[in-house]
Amino acid sequence: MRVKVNLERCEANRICVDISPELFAVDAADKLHVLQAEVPEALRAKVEEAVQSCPRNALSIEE
Amino acid sequence: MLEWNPYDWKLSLDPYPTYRALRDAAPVYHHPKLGFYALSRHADVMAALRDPATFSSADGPGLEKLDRAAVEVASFLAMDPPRHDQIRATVWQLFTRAAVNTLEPTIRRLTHEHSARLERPDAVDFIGEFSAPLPMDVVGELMGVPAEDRPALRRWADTVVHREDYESEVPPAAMEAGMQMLGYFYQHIQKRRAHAAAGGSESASGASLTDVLLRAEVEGAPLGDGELVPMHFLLGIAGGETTTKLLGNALFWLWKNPDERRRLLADPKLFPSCVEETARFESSSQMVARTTTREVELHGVRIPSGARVALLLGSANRDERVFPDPDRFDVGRKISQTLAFGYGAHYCLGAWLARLEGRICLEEILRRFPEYSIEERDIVRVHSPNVRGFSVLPIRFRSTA
Repeated sequence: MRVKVNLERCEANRICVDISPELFAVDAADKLHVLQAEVPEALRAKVEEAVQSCPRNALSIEE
Repeated sequence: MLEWNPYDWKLSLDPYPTYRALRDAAPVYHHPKLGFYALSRHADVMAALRDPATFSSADGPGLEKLDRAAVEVASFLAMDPPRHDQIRATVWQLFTRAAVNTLEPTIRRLTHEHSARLERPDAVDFIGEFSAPLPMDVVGELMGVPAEDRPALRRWADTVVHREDYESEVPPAAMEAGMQMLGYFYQHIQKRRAHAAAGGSESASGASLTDVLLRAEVEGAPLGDGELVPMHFLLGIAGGETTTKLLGNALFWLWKNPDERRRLLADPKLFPSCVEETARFESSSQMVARTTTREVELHGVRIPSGARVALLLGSANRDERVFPDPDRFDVGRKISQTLAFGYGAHYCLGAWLARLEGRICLEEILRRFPEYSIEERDIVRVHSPNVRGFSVLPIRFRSTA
Protein backbone atom coordinates (compact mmCIF):
# COMPACT_ATOMS: atom_id res chain seq x y z
CA MET A 1 0.00 0.00 0.00
CA ARG A 2 1.00 3.67 -0.33
CA VAL A 3 0.50 6.53 2.10
CA LYS A 4 -0.81 9.73 0.56
CA VAL A 5 -0.19 13.07 2.26
CA ASN A 6 -2.26 16.17 1.56
CA LEU A 7 0.62 18.63 2.04
CA GLU A 8 -1.78 21.59 2.08
CA ARG A 9 -3.58 19.99 5.00
CA CYS A 10 -0.49 18.84 6.92
CA GLU A 11 0.64 21.21 9.67
CA ALA A 12 3.54 19.20 11.06
CA ASN A 13 1.71 18.00 14.15
CA ARG A 14 4.12 15.05 14.04
CA ILE A 15 1.61 12.64 15.54
CA CYS A 16 2.28 10.26 12.64
CA VAL A 17 6.02 10.56 13.37
CA ASP A 18 5.41 9.54 16.98
CA ILE A 19 3.38 6.53 15.83
CA SER A 20 5.73 5.39 13.07
CA PRO A 21 9.12 7.13 12.81
CA GLU A 22 10.21 4.47 10.28
CA LEU A 23 7.58 5.78 7.91
CA PHE A 24 7.23 9.51 8.64
CA ALA A 25 9.68 12.37 9.13
CA VAL A 26 9.23 16.14 9.29
CA ASP A 27 12.09 18.33 8.07
CA ALA A 28 13.25 21.72 9.38
CA ALA A 29 10.85 23.48 6.98
CA ASP A 30 7.89 21.63 8.57
CA LYS A 31 7.47 19.45 5.47
CA LEU A 32 6.33 15.85 5.96
CA HIS A 33 8.16 13.06 4.13
CA VAL A 34 6.88 9.50 3.73
CA LEU A 35 10.05 7.45 3.94
CA GLN A 36 8.83 4.34 2.07
CA ALA A 37 7.04 4.60 -1.28
CA GLU A 38 5.71 1.03 -1.03
CA VAL A 39 4.70 0.29 2.56
CA PRO A 40 4.95 -3.34 3.68
CA GLU A 41 1.86 -5.13 5.07
CA ALA A 42 3.64 -5.52 8.41
CA LEU A 43 3.17 -1.76 8.98
CA ARG A 44 -0.57 -1.70 8.14
CA ALA A 45 -1.76 -1.34 11.74
CA LYS A 46 0.60 1.59 12.33
CA VAL A 47 -0.40 3.21 9.05
CA GLU A 48 -4.09 2.92 9.95
CA GLU A 49 -3.42 4.37 13.39
CA ALA A 50 -1.51 7.28 11.85
CA VAL A 51 -4.33 7.96 9.35
CA GLN A 52 -6.95 7.89 12.15
CA SER A 53 -4.86 10.00 14.52
CA CYS A 54 -3.88 12.80 12.15
CA PRO A 55 -5.92 15.70 13.53
CA ARG A 56 -5.93 17.47 10.18
CA ASN A 57 -7.18 14.46 8.23
CA ALA A 58 -4.13 14.87 5.99
CA LEU A 59 -3.27 11.18 5.47
CA SER A 60 -4.90 8.49 3.39
CA ILE A 61 -4.09 4.98 2.23
CA GLU A 62 -3.89 4.00 -1.44
CA GLU A 63 -3.97 0.26 -2.03
CA MET B 1 -38.94 14.09 27.69
CA LEU B 2 -35.26 14.23 26.72
CA GLU B 3 -34.20 17.80 26.20
CA TRP B 4 -30.82 19.22 25.39
CA ASN B 5 -30.93 22.98 25.79
CA PRO B 6 -27.43 24.44 25.94
CA TYR B 7 -28.79 27.79 27.14
CA ASP B 8 -30.20 26.22 30.30
CA TRP B 9 -27.81 26.96 33.16
CA LYS B 10 -28.85 23.77 34.96
CA LEU B 11 -27.18 21.76 32.23
CA SER B 12 -23.84 23.35 33.05
CA LEU B 13 -23.93 21.66 36.47
CA ASP B 14 -23.62 18.21 34.89
CA PRO B 15 -24.32 17.71 31.18
CA TYR B 16 -22.93 14.17 31.02
CA PRO B 17 -26.06 12.14 31.85
CA THR B 18 -27.92 14.15 29.18
CA TYR B 19 -25.11 13.49 26.69
CA ARG B 20 -25.27 9.75 27.39
CA ALA B 21 -29.04 9.76 26.90
CA LEU B 22 -28.60 11.60 23.60
CA ARG B 23 -25.94 9.16 22.38
CA ASP B 24 -28.12 6.17 23.22
CA ALA B 25 -31.64 7.36 22.44
CA ALA B 26 -31.28 10.35 20.08
CA PRO B 27 -27.91 10.35 18.32
CA VAL B 28 -29.40 12.87 15.89
CA TYR B 29 -31.28 15.14 18.29
CA HIS B 30 -33.69 17.84 17.19
CA HIS B 31 -34.87 20.56 19.58
CA PRO B 32 -38.57 20.99 18.77
CA LYS B 33 -38.80 24.67 19.70
CA LEU B 34 -35.31 26.08 19.19
CA GLY B 35 -34.94 24.18 15.91
CA PHE B 36 -31.30 23.06 16.01
CA TYR B 37 -29.97 19.53 15.66
CA ALA B 38 -27.19 17.92 17.69
CA LEU B 39 -24.79 15.03 17.05
CA SER B 40 -23.44 13.42 20.20
CA ARG B 41 -21.61 10.22 19.17
CA HIS B 42 -17.86 10.31 18.56
CA ALA B 43 -18.09 8.63 15.16
CA ASP B 44 -20.78 11.01 13.90
CA VAL B 45 -19.08 14.15 15.22
CA MET B 46 -15.78 13.08 13.64
CA ALA B 47 -17.46 12.30 10.31
CA ALA B 48 -19.12 15.73 10.28
CA LEU B 49 -15.83 17.47 11.07
CA ARG B 50 -14.24 15.54 8.23
CA ASP B 51 -16.81 16.92 5.77
CA PRO B 52 -16.76 20.75 5.69
CA ALA B 53 -18.47 20.71 2.29
CA THR B 54 -21.62 19.29 3.94
CA PHE B 55 -21.17 20.81 7.41
CA SER B 56 -20.25 24.41 6.74
CA SER B 57 -18.71 26.86 9.20
CA ALA B 58 -19.93 29.92 7.30
CA ASP B 59 -22.59 30.89 9.86
CA GLY B 60 -20.13 31.10 12.75
CA PRO B 61 -19.10 28.90 15.67
CA GLY B 62 -22.04 29.40 18.03
CA LEU B 63 -25.53 27.95 17.65
CA GLU B 64 -27.05 31.33 16.93
CA LYS B 65 -26.54 32.10 13.23
CA LEU B 66 -24.42 35.22 13.03
CA ASP B 67 -25.33 37.96 10.60
CA ARG B 68 -22.82 38.82 7.88
CA ALA B 69 -21.10 41.59 9.88
CA ALA B 70 -20.65 39.41 12.94
CA VAL B 71 -19.38 36.50 10.85
CA GLU B 72 -16.57 38.74 9.51
CA VAL B 73 -15.39 39.18 13.07
CA ALA B 74 -14.95 35.43 13.51
CA SER B 75 -12.28 35.45 10.76
CA PHE B 76 -11.29 32.07 9.37
CA LEU B 77 -13.25 30.22 12.06
CA ALA B 78 -16.36 31.13 10.05
CA MET B 79 -14.91 30.33 6.65
CA ASP B 80 -14.97 27.17 4.57
CA PRO B 81 -12.24 25.81 2.30
CA PRO B 82 -10.73 27.08 0.02
CA ARG B 83 -10.71 30.62 1.54
CA HIS B 84 -10.34 29.15 5.03
CA ASP B 85 -7.21 27.23 4.05
CA GLN B 86 -5.63 30.31 2.41
CA ILE B 87 -6.03 32.44 5.56
CA ARG B 88 -4.96 29.71 7.93
CA ALA B 89 -1.88 29.11 5.76
CA THR B 90 -0.55 32.56 6.74
CA VAL B 91 -0.14 31.60 10.41
CA TRP B 92 0.04 27.85 10.99
CA GLN B 93 3.82 27.73 11.08
CA LEU B 94 3.85 29.89 14.22
CA PHE B 95 1.79 27.23 15.98
CA THR B 96 3.52 23.94 15.09
CA ARG B 97 4.69 21.72 17.91
CA ALA B 98 8.31 22.74 17.15
CA ALA B 99 7.57 26.48 17.03
CA VAL B 100 5.50 26.38 20.21
CA ASN B 101 8.24 24.51 22.10
CA THR B 102 10.53 27.54 21.64
CA LEU B 103 8.12 29.42 23.92
CA GLU B 104 8.83 27.15 26.88
CA PRO B 105 11.26 29.52 28.67
CA THR B 106 8.84 32.44 28.27
CA ILE B 107 5.90 30.40 29.56
CA ARG B 108 7.90 29.13 32.50
CA ARG B 109 8.89 32.70 33.41
CA LEU B 110 5.28 33.90 33.21
CA THR B 111 4.13 30.89 35.24
CA HIS B 112 6.64 31.72 38.02
CA GLU B 113 5.45 35.33 38.07
CA HIS B 114 1.77 34.48 38.23
CA SER B 115 2.06 31.61 40.72
CA ALA B 116 3.71 33.95 43.26
CA ARG B 117 0.21 35.38 43.85
CA LEU B 118 -1.06 31.93 44.88
CA GLU B 119 1.24 31.76 47.91
CA ARG B 120 -1.31 32.90 50.55
CA PRO B 121 -2.59 31.32 53.78
CA ASP B 122 -6.23 31.85 52.75
CA ALA B 123 -8.02 30.70 49.60
CA VAL B 124 -7.44 32.57 46.34
CA ASP B 125 -9.52 32.53 43.19
CA PHE B 126 -7.33 30.43 40.90
CA ILE B 127 -9.12 31.67 37.81
CA GLY B 128 -8.81 35.39 38.54
CA GLU B 129 -5.30 35.23 39.98
CA PHE B 130 -3.69 32.76 37.59
CA SER B 131 -5.52 30.83 34.92
CA ALA B 132 -7.15 33.84 33.26
CA PRO B 133 -4.17 36.21 33.21
CA LEU B 134 -1.56 33.62 32.22
CA PRO B 135 -2.91 32.52 28.80
CA MET B 136 -3.72 36.12 27.91
CA ASP B 137 -0.11 36.98 28.82
CA VAL B 138 1.15 34.23 26.50
CA VAL B 139 -1.06 35.41 23.62
CA GLY B 140 0.01 38.97 24.40
CA GLU B 141 3.67 37.97 24.15
CA LEU B 142 2.95 36.20 20.86
CA MET B 143 1.23 39.28 19.43
CA GLY B 144 3.54 41.89 20.96
CA VAL B 145 0.72 43.40 23.09
CA PRO B 146 2.10 45.43 26.05
CA ALA B 147 1.56 43.85 29.49
CA GLU B 148 -0.49 46.78 30.80
CA ASP B 149 -3.11 46.26 28.06
CA ARG B 150 -3.72 42.58 28.73
CA PRO B 151 -6.15 42.79 31.70
CA ALA B 152 -8.59 44.82 29.60
CA LEU B 153 -8.34 42.30 26.76
CA ARG B 154 -9.10 39.52 29.18
CA ARG B 155 -12.18 41.32 30.56
CA TRP B 156 -13.51 41.97 27.07
CA ALA B 157 -12.87 38.36 26.04
CA ASP B 158 -14.82 37.05 29.06
CA THR B 159 -17.76 39.33 28.25
CA VAL B 160 -17.80 38.31 24.59
CA VAL B 161 -18.46 34.64 25.46
CA HIS B 162 -20.79 35.13 28.46
CA ARG B 163 -24.51 34.35 28.14
CA GLU B 164 -27.20 34.82 30.78
CA ASP B 165 -29.49 31.92 31.72
CA TYR B 166 -31.63 30.87 28.73
CA GLU B 167 -30.12 33.63 26.62
CA SER B 168 -29.83 32.32 23.08
CA GLU B 169 -29.03 35.55 21.20
CA VAL B 170 -25.68 37.35 21.32
CA PRO B 171 -26.25 39.90 24.11
CA PRO B 172 -25.55 43.64 23.71
CA ALA B 173 -22.79 43.50 26.34
CA ALA B 174 -21.00 40.83 24.31
CA MET B 175 -21.32 42.93 21.14
CA GLU B 176 -19.97 45.99 22.97
CA ALA B 177 -17.01 44.07 24.40
CA GLY B 178 -16.35 42.64 20.95
CA MET B 179 -16.25 46.15 19.46
CA GLN B 180 -13.79 47.27 22.15
CA MET B 181 -11.49 44.36 21.37
CA LEU B 182 -11.66 44.95 17.64
CA GLY B 183 -10.89 48.63 18.20
CA TYR B 184 -7.93 47.74 20.36
CA PHE B 185 -6.48 45.35 17.79
CA TYR B 186 -7.01 47.89 15.01
CA GLN B 187 -4.85 50.39 16.92
CA HIS B 188 -2.29 47.70 17.73
CA ILE B 189 -1.94 46.76 14.05
CA GLN B 190 -1.55 50.40 12.96
CA LYS B 191 1.23 50.85 15.53
CA ARG B 192 3.10 47.73 14.37
CA ARG B 193 2.67 48.68 10.73
CA ALA B 194 4.05 52.20 11.37
CA HIS B 195 6.91 50.73 13.38
CA ALA B 196 7.85 48.36 10.53
CA ALA B 197 7.51 51.12 7.90
CA ALA B 198 9.85 53.36 9.91
CA GLY B 199 12.46 50.58 9.76
CA GLY B 200 11.90 49.63 13.40
CA SER B 201 13.35 46.33 14.55
CA GLU B 202 11.28 43.44 15.76
CA SER B 203 11.59 42.37 19.38
CA ALA B 204 14.54 40.42 20.71
CA SER B 205 12.45 37.25 20.68
CA GLY B 206 11.78 37.51 16.96
CA ALA B 207 8.82 38.52 14.81
CA SER B 208 5.52 38.77 16.62
CA LEU B 209 2.41 37.16 15.20
CA THR B 210 1.33 40.65 14.11
CA ASP B 211 4.58 41.25 12.25
CA VAL B 212 4.28 37.88 10.48
CA LEU B 213 0.70 38.66 9.46
CA LEU B 214 1.71 42.11 8.18
CA ARG B 215 4.22 40.43 5.86
CA ALA B 216 1.88 37.62 4.73
CA GLU B 217 0.28 37.42 1.32
CA VAL B 218 -2.80 35.63 0.07
CA GLU B 219 -3.04 35.24 -3.72
CA GLY B 220 -0.18 37.70 -4.09
CA ALA B 221 -1.74 40.48 -2.01
CA PRO B 222 -1.09 41.50 1.61
CA LEU B 223 -3.89 41.05 4.13
CA GLY B 224 -6.01 44.15 4.71
CA ASP B 225 -7.22 45.42 8.09
CA GLY B 226 -10.55 43.74 7.32
CA GLU B 227 -8.79 40.40 7.70
CA LEU B 228 -6.01 41.34 10.14
CA VAL B 229 -8.27 42.72 12.86
CA PRO B 230 -10.62 39.70 12.99
CA MET B 231 -7.64 37.33 12.99
CA HIS B 232 -6.28 39.02 16.11
CA PHE B 233 -9.73 38.97 17.69
CA LEU B 234 -10.11 35.26 16.97
CA LEU B 235 -6.67 34.33 18.26
CA GLY B 236 -7.14 36.60 21.30
CA ILE B 237 -10.42 34.94 22.29
CA ALA B 238 -9.38 31.42 21.33
CA GLY B 239 -6.00 31.71 23.05
CA GLY B 240 -7.46 32.87 26.36
CA GLU B 241 -10.79 31.41 27.41
CA THR B 242 -10.25 27.76 26.56
CA THR B 243 -6.80 27.47 28.15
CA THR B 244 -8.08 29.25 31.28
CA LYS B 245 -10.76 26.61 31.61
CA LEU B 246 -8.32 23.74 30.95
CA LEU B 247 -6.08 24.81 33.85
CA GLY B 248 -8.97 25.20 36.30
CA ASN B 249 -10.52 21.92 35.20
CA ALA B 250 -7.22 20.08 35.71
CA LEU B 251 -6.78 21.31 39.28
CA PHE B 252 -10.43 20.58 40.09
CA TRP B 253 -10.42 16.98 38.82
CA LEU B 254 -7.04 16.19 40.34
CA TRP B 255 -8.44 17.35 43.67
CA LYS B 256 -11.63 15.29 43.21
CA ASN B 257 -9.48 12.25 42.39
CA PRO B 258 -6.74 12.21 45.05
CA ASP B 259 -5.39 8.83 43.87
CA GLU B 260 -4.78 10.33 40.45
CA ARG B 261 -3.12 13.38 41.97
CA ARG B 262 -0.80 11.11 43.98
CA ARG B 263 -0.08 9.07 40.84
CA LEU B 264 0.87 12.24 38.97
CA LEU B 265 3.12 13.49 41.77
CA ALA B 266 4.87 10.12 41.91
CA ASP B 267 5.47 10.00 38.15
CA PRO B 268 6.06 13.39 36.45
CA LYS B 269 6.17 11.71 33.03
CA LEU B 270 2.36 11.66 33.34
CA PHE B 271 1.93 15.43 33.10
CA PRO B 272 1.34 15.47 29.32
CA SER B 273 -1.23 12.67 29.50
CA CYS B 274 -2.86 14.38 32.50
CA VAL B 275 -3.37 17.50 30.38
CA GLU B 276 -4.72 15.38 27.54
CA GLU B 277 -7.11 13.53 29.87
CA THR B 278 -8.38 16.80 31.37
CA ALA B 279 -9.11 18.07 27.86
CA ARG B 280 -10.97 14.84 27.08
CA PHE B 281 -12.80 14.47 30.38
CA GLU B 282 -13.97 18.06 30.68
CA SER B 283 -13.46 19.70 27.31
CA SER B 284 -13.17 23.49 27.46
CA SER B 285 -15.02 23.65 24.15
CA GLN B 286 -18.14 21.54 24.57
CA MET B 287 -19.51 22.08 21.11
CA VAL B 288 -19.01 23.69 17.72
CA ALA B 289 -21.82 24.56 15.34
CA ARG B 290 -22.21 23.90 11.63
CA THR B 291 -24.85 24.51 8.94
CA THR B 292 -25.81 21.71 6.57
CA THR B 293 -25.40 22.60 2.89
CA ARG B 294 -27.57 19.70 1.75
CA GLU B 295 -30.02 17.23 3.26
CA VAL B 296 -28.29 14.65 5.47
CA GLU B 297 -29.74 11.27 6.45
CA LEU B 298 -28.24 9.82 9.63
CA HIS B 299 -29.57 7.15 12.04
CA GLY B 300 -32.92 7.30 10.29
CA VAL B 301 -33.30 11.06 10.82
CA ARG B 302 -33.43 13.54 7.96
CA ILE B 303 -31.58 16.78 8.69
CA PRO B 304 -32.73 19.36 6.15
CA SER B 305 -30.39 21.57 4.19
CA GLY B 306 -29.65 24.86 5.94
CA ALA B 307 -30.09 23.34 9.43
CA ARG B 308 -28.02 24.43 12.41
CA VAL B 309 -26.20 21.39 13.84
CA ALA B 310 -24.33 21.30 17.14
CA LEU B 311 -21.39 18.90 17.18
CA LEU B 312 -21.07 17.91 20.82
CA LEU B 313 -17.33 17.50 21.41
CA GLY B 314 -17.92 17.18 25.16
CA SER B 315 -20.22 14.21 24.53
CA ALA B 316 -18.01 12.58 21.90
CA ASN B 317 -15.12 12.63 24.37
CA ARG B 318 -17.20 10.57 26.85
CA ASP B 319 -18.45 8.08 24.25
CA GLU B 320 -17.97 4.56 25.62
CA ARG B 321 -17.91 3.30 22.03
CA VAL B 322 -14.43 4.87 21.77
CA PHE B 323 -13.14 5.39 25.33
CA PRO B 324 -13.29 2.44 27.76
CA ASP B 325 -14.70 3.52 31.15
CA PRO B 326 -15.13 7.06 29.79
CA ASP B 327 -16.34 8.66 33.03
CA ARG B 328 -13.18 7.70 34.89
CA PHE B 329 -10.55 10.43 35.17
CA ASP B 330 -7.31 8.58 34.39
CA VAL B 331 -4.14 10.69 34.18
CA GLY B 332 -2.30 7.89 32.38
CA ARG B 333 -4.95 7.21 29.73
CA LYS B 334 -3.62 6.61 26.22
CA ILE B 335 -5.68 8.83 23.97
CA SER B 336 -5.43 9.10 20.23
CA GLN B 337 -8.97 10.10 19.28
CA THR B 338 -9.61 13.15 21.42
CA LEU B 339 -11.98 15.70 19.92
CA ALA B 340 -11.10 18.28 22.57
CA PHE B 341 -9.29 20.31 19.92
CA GLY B 342 -11.71 19.48 17.13
CA TYR B 343 -10.58 17.73 13.97
CA GLY B 344 -9.91 18.37 10.29
CA ALA B 345 -9.94 21.75 8.57
CA HIS B 346 -10.63 23.81 11.73
CA TYR B 347 -8.52 21.70 14.11
CA CYS B 348 -7.41 23.98 16.92
CA LEU B 349 -4.42 25.98 15.74
CA GLY B 350 -3.38 26.53 19.34
CA ALA B 351 -3.55 22.88 20.44
CA TRP B 352 0.20 22.53 21.06
CA LEU B 353 0.29 25.90 22.81
CA ALA B 354 -2.56 24.83 25.09
CA ARG B 355 -0.80 21.53 25.82
CA LEU B 356 2.48 23.27 26.60
CA GLU B 357 0.88 25.84 28.88
CA GLY B 358 -1.10 23.06 30.56
CA ARG B 359 1.98 20.93 31.19
CA ILE B 360 4.18 23.78 32.45
CA CYS B 361 1.50 25.26 34.70
CA LEU B 362 0.57 21.93 36.23
CA GLU B 363 4.23 21.00 36.75
CA GLU B 364 5.00 24.29 38.50
CA ILE B 365 1.83 24.39 40.61
CA LEU B 366 1.84 20.72 41.66
CA ARG B 367 5.55 20.86 42.47
CA ARG B 368 5.13 24.00 44.54
CA PHE B 369 1.73 23.25 46.11
CA PRO B 370 1.15 19.47 46.06
CA GLU B 371 -1.40 19.59 48.92
CA TYR B 372 -3.77 22.30 47.63
CA SER B 373 -7.47 22.06 48.51
CA ILE B 374 -10.58 23.52 46.92
CA GLU B 375 -13.44 25.36 48.69
CA GLU B 376 -16.09 23.51 46.71
CA ARG B 377 -19.12 25.38 48.00
CA ASP B 378 -17.75 28.68 46.66
CA ILE B 379 -17.01 27.56 43.11
CA VAL B 380 -18.84 29.23 40.24
CA ARG B 381 -19.17 27.55 36.86
CA VAL B 382 -19.08 29.59 33.67
CA HIS B 383 -22.44 29.89 31.95
CA SER B 384 -21.93 29.48 28.25
CA PRO B 385 -23.41 27.09 25.72
CA ASN B 386 -19.96 26.46 24.24
CA VAL B 387 -17.46 26.65 27.09
CA ARG B 388 -17.14 24.42 30.14
CA GLY B 389 -15.16 25.33 33.23
CA PHE B 390 -15.02 27.67 36.21
CA SER B 391 -15.30 31.42 36.44
CA VAL B 392 -14.44 31.32 40.16
CA LEU B 393 -12.35 28.53 41.72
CA PRO B 394 -11.24 29.25 45.31
CA ILE B 395 -8.17 27.19 46.19
CA ARG B 396 -6.11 27.07 49.35
CA PHE B 397 -2.51 26.56 48.24
CA ARG B 398 -0.13 25.42 50.96
CA SER B 399 3.53 25.54 50.10
CA THR B 400 5.67 22.67 51.33
CA ALA B 401 8.54 25.11 51.95
